[in-house]
This record gives sequence, C-alpha cells and structure tokens, in this order.
Amino acid sequence: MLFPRRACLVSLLILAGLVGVSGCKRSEQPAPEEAKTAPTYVPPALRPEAVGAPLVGKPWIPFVGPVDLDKDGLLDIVGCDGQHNQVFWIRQVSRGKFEEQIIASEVPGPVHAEAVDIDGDGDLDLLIASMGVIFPNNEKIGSVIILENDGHQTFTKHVIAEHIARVTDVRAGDFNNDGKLDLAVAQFGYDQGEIRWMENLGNWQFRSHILLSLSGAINVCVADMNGDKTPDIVSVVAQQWEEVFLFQNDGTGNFTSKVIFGSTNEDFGSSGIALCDLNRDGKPDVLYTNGDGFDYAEPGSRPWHGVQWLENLGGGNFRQHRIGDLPGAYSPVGLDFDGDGAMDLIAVSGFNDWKNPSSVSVMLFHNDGRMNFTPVPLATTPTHLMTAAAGDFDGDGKSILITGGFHAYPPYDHLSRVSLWRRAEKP
Amino acid sequence: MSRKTIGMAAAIVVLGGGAAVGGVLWHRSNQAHAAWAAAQPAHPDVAGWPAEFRQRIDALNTAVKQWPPNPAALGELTRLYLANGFQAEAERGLRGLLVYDPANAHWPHYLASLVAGYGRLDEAISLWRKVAALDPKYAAARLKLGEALLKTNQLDEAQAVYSDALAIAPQDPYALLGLAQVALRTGRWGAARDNLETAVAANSSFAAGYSLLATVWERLGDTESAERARSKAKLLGRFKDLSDPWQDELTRDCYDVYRLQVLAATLSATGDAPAAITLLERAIVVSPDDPRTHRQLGKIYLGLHEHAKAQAELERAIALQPTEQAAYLDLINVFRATNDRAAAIEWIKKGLKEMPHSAGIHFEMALALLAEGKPEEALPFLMKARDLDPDNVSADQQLAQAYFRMGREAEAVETMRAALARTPDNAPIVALMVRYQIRSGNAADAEKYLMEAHQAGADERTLGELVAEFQRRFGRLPRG
Repeated sequence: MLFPRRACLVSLLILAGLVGVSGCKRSEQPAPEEAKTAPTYVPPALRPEAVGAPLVGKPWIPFVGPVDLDKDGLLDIVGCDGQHNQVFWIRQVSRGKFEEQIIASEVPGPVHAEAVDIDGDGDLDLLIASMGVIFPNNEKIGSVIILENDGHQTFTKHVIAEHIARVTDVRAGDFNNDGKLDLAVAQFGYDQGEIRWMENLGNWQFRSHILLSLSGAINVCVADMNGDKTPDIVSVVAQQWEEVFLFQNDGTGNFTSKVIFGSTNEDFGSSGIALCDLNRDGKPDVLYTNGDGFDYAEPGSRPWHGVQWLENLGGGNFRQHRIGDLPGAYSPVGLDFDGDGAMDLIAVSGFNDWKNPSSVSVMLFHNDGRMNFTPVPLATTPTHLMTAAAGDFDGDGKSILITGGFHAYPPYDHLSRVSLWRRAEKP
Repeated sequence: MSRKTIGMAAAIVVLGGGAAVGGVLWHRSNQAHAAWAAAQPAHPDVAGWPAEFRQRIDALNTAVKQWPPNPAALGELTRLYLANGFQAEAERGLRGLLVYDPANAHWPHYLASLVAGYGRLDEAISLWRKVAALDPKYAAARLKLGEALLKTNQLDEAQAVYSDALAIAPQDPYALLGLAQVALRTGRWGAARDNLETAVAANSSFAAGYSLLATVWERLGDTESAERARSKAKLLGRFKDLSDPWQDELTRDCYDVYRLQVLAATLSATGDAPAAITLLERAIVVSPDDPRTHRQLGKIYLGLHEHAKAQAELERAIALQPTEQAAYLDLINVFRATNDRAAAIEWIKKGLKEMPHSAGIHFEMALALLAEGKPEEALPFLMKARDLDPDNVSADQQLAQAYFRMGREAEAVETMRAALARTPDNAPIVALMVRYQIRSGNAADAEKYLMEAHQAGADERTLGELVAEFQRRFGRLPRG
C-alpha cells in the first residue's frame, strides 16, 4: 500500500477549512487526459478498376510495378503471375486504356520484375526473380532471369543463374564502379537462403559474390544509404531471423554488413521493404511491413502485424518508428496521397480476417506533417492483396495506386487480379 | 501581545502546519492514485469473446480500479491481455507491474519480449538485464538478451552473455548457436563451425544448428558435409525457438482459438506433438465447435498413428464443416493407414456428395478404385480430378499408368504428351515417358527424355533407376 485512503480524507478536510484563509486554489484531482484528436483526414473514396487480362480462377499476382516500358510517355504496369509462371505487361495504349500481353512464359514462380537498362542500349530490360515454386520449398529451384528488350518490347530470356535457392528479388546497381550495372539478389530459399551481388562481366556473364547466407531474404533495395555516393544494399530477412541488413559498399564491391533492425519474435512476419525519403531530409529511409501470415495453421494475422519506418540518421545509422498496426501488412508504398507536401504511406493486407467484412485490405497511414501517422482505411475489398505500387498513370502529377490479388487461400468471394485505384467521382 | 492573541496565533500556526502536512499528504495521495490509475490498462472491446474471458476481464478491471492498489489483480489482468493478443493493454499493465511488483522477474521478461517483438531492442535489453539480475537462472531471458545484443550489433556483449549462459548450462544449443552467429558476423567461419558442431553433437534434433552448419560448411568448401547437414535439417523440420516456460504458461489463459491453433501448428511442426495437443484441447474447451481445431488435432493424431483418435476428431471436423476437403483427405489417410478400404470409400462418396467439384476427392476415389484393380472405373475420376485441378501432376501420372495397365498405350502416350505440354518440368511424367520409350525400344527418345528428366529435377534415385533400365534394355549407358 503506497498511501492510506484515510489520511487522504483527513488532509482534505483540514485543507477544506483553510481554503478561505489561505486563498489557495484547490488543486484538481488529475483527470484522465482527454484524447487530443487531430482533425480526422477524410480520404476520397477509391474505386478499384480491373486492368489487363480478365479475372479467371483465383489469381496469384505477387508483384505489380509501374513503368513506362515502351517509353511512349504513358505509364504501364509490369507484373508477375505466380500461378501461370508468366511475366506480363499491361500497356497503357492511350490515356486510360490498358491492354495486357505476356512478355515471358515458363518463368517458374516469378515474384519480382525490375525494369532497368542493364545492357545500356537505351531500352528497358527486366530483371526477374524466379522462385521456382512460390510455396515453401527448400530445393535449389530458383533462378535469376533477365529479359532483354530488343527495343520493340520483344524480349529474349537470359538465365543468369539457376539451380540456386529460391530467388525473391533482383535489383541493379553499379557496385564496383566499372560503368556496368551489377545485380543485387535476394534468395529466400527455405532452410537455406542467400543474399548475393552478381558482378556484371559483360555479354550476359555474371560472377556471384555471397553477402549473407541466411534463409528468408525477401527484398534487396539499392541506394546510397550512408551518403558516400556509392550504392549500398538493404535487405530484409524473414524466417527465424527477422532482421533488416544494411550492406555498405566501399565503392569497389566490398560490402560491410550491419543489422539495422531486428525482432526477437520469430513469428514477426517480415513481409517487405521499400525505400522512400519519408521525412524528406534528403536521405532514403526504409519502409517496412510485417504481415506474413502464411504458416502451418490456417493463414491469418498476428496482433503485432503492421508498418514501421527505419529513419535514416546518416552514416549507416537508423532509428525504428512504428507507424501503425495492419493485420497481414504487405508492400509499403510511400507517396503524398493528399498532396499536402508530407509523405504518407499506403500498405495492403494479404492476411486479414477476411470473414469479417470490415477487415481492411488497403490502408492509408496519413502523415500530419510532423511524422505522426493516422491509419485511414481506404478499402476492404478486394481482399488478399500482397503487392502494391503507385505511379502517375493519368499524367496529372497525382499518384494512383495499383495492386495485385494473391488468392491462395479462402475465402474467394472478393477476388481481383490487377487493379488500378482511381478516385471515385463525387455523386 | 495578549494571551488571546498568542493563543490565536498558535492556533493558526497549528492549523497552518496541519494544513501544510495535510496538503503534502493529499498531494501524495493524488499522485499515488494517479500513478495507480496510469498503470491500469484501458478496457478494450471484448464483445464477441468467450463469456468466461469477458467475465474475468470485467471482474479484474473492477478489482484494479479499487484502492489500495492490487498488484495481484493487475498481474492477472495483464497476463490475460498478453495471452490473448491485446498488446497495448498488456504493455500498459506490464509497465505498472514493474512499479507495483518490482521483484517479480516475470514482468520485465514479458515486457522485454513484447517490445522486442516490435523491434524495440534497446528497451528490451535493459529489461532483460533486469530479469537476469532478478532471476539469474532463467535461461530464456539470458538467451534472448544475447539475441537482442546480437541484433543490435553489440557483438562483444552478446558473446559475453552467451558465454555466461554456457557457464550455467554447458552445451546449451541456443547459446552455442548465438556464439556461432557472433563468429559469423566477424567472419570467423571455423569458430562458427566448431560451435555448431558442439551444439548438434549435444542435441541431435537441433534443426537450427544443422541448418546454419550447412551454410558454414558450404562457405568452407566442404559440399559433402554441407549436404549432410542440409539433409538433416530438412529431416528435422522447422526452426524451433528456445524454450520459454514463462511464455508457455500464458497459453493457460488464452481464449483466442486462432492463436492456440497457430501455436499448436508451430509446436507440431517442430516435433512437439504432445504440447500441440494440449493447446488444441484447450481450444476445444474454449470453442468446442470449431472444425479447424478438430481437423488439426485429427491430423496430429494421424501423425502419431493414433488412428482411432484421429478418426474421431476428423469425423467431428467433417460433421461441423461438411465441405472442408482437407478433413476428408486426412480421414481417408486414416483409413488407408488402417487398411479399411470400405470406410475410405464410404467417406469418399460422402465427400463427393458434399463437394462434387473437389479435385482431391475425385483423385482419392480413383486411387481407391485402382487399388481394387478397377482401372476402367478409375478413369473418369482421374480425368475429372485433372480437369478440376490442371496442376495436379499426380492425376496425369495415374491416368497414363491406368491406360498402360489396360493396354491402351496410345491414350497413355497422349496423356503424357498433353501433360508435358501444360507443365514441361513435370518430372514424374517425364520419368514415365522415359520408361515408355525404353520399353518401346526407342533409345534416342529415351535419351532425350532422360535429359529432360534431369533438367526437370527428377531425384537422383529415379534417375539412377532409369539409367539402369536403359542399360538393361540397350546394353549400354545413355549418351549425354
């Protein structure tokens, strides 16, 4: 007992008798602090518009990304179909009109496509991460594939590495400063995985340098993270590790690794990272979701699923900030959603409680300009979204969200394949 | 000064002094009340939760609102929140318990685990240091402290903590794993190997040790040892987190059936079926009619070869949810294990009635008919299974084999060709094609498909058998 209630009452009585004499103002019993509610941001209603091939069956779209692949000034979408082992291009043939074509088939378990001019011939090639099989598998069935563009969007497949632990991401950067773009590769594997960089020797030949030998690598993002003007690599490693690594490059392809975030919760569910200068201080920060709910029981969410950002403090140092909860969170996207000059964040949900109709599938985390984020649900359907990106598809300077549906588990009542989220007309 | 005045002055002094003392006491009282109020978690929305849980929450909330502070009630309330995923409420309660029950090592451990789960490792480290001081023998906290230090790049401190853990429990596999990770971070591959070898020698079922050892051996250039370690890791299954009895205690207060199912699935995947069964039994107490729990339990019993229990749980699951294909398939496996074909067929028929579009149950019906020597009757079921699920490689394989058994070779070949057109890397079909070409005396085609089988990832044993068959038939080894 810290303080007896009776003593409190006695002192109150004495004090009550003296209030008039002393002129002291009676202090108030501390009341619970009233919630300070900022004016709630009311977002415009969004309407998902299916683009590309029609919805057939239960799509598995693990990746969509905006890119003007044919450089005609209209933003297109490239994506991966994990069920049909295809890489597709949804071309914006004229403003607002989209047509899909398959640009590579028989790509086993494609999960990421990065557009970059890898051979320096002026057109955009595609770096493809091929898992072999998307669902858990420890066999060495992954491959790194480059789809070489002939300048007319006809692609030739170059298998750069195969029979390696399942590949989840491939990005480009000139890591050894020789003028040729090299590759950063994440390999999830299952029990065995890796992160490597592949030195471009020219003529579609690459030499591998292993950076880390742990299972569970999901993404590799490339940027100068420590301000030394050389491209570094940031990678998130899930499975039992649940860590974000920074590989700092000395400019010659020698990397020093460092953990910049770690959770000791082996079920944290890391699901993806993206780079974005969220606080607009000139340094790229790391946006980070944890929402993987695909495990041994029925797929579903965990109470700690959500979104955070790792603030780049410079010099290779980072500080973690939790942004908010989102069950099943995937695919963080930084964008100024409301045009107020502050970067907001959108994430989608792959593993929410879909039997509950109010479960959110697209969530905006609205930034009040002081890096305080308020969750604002944008949509509850379609469900099972694991990939999102944003781009200026209408050429009006405003970002439009695109998403892909990954319907590998029930319920199957709100399906989607590739959606483009326009603001609904006001009634 | 008159006596009266002196008396009045004295009275004022006494009253003033009393008032001052009273004011101080009152202020302290206010502070104490405010502190206790701040320790109380907000009452969350628990509508939809089991009645017993709601009643406990209500009663404990009432108890903690009373004065004087009741740390026992706050502790129980906090455990309830923690056990059921009310993270914010649990965190608030735990922070209060650090103040009101400061000698209890459970609270800093729970809070450390909670905040570390979100990646707030600096805070967790100081809390786990507190646990180590309060209860030096509690291994889980010490090992988690080491892990948190490792993840914050404090390698020397991590090494020291893991070494301390080994001093308490020599050959603790997680401490050795931690030391190996420290060694890996500093490029000392040999030291990492030594620690991991000690870990797996002391605990032959330590999957995480074998998994990392495979990586280390590979980096050291010993691919044979790497492959051995990898096979062992694969055999042992998933990474098993270290034992944390204080966390395990919480499941007794868990009313979240999904949470219990997830924990049970993890335990079962890491080979701890008895603990998984305990959790699922609790899930059944909380919610007796959740078909997923019965299915999960049935599957665990099936794995344990406790067929009667498996049958009972799976039949219950089907009764509760007659359209769940997985429960039928597991139940059919029970009857397959007990050689009860009649019961299997009875349940297959029931399944088909409930789910006329189930590829899996059509396939099971075909297998049952094939087992009874009725390939002709099996054909439509195999075709249906393949049509309903074009990715079902086994349906194509069985269909081709059924045609072969009936002497309908052309249809068998056509089935294989169609399957390969759809899925070129279909290793079982390619292997079947190799066998067909060998039997037909087509050495060149057999060699071609043998190459394809290799590229499709057919396993070494199958490839060896195919090569031997080829050699027997053609008297030479295949080229290429």
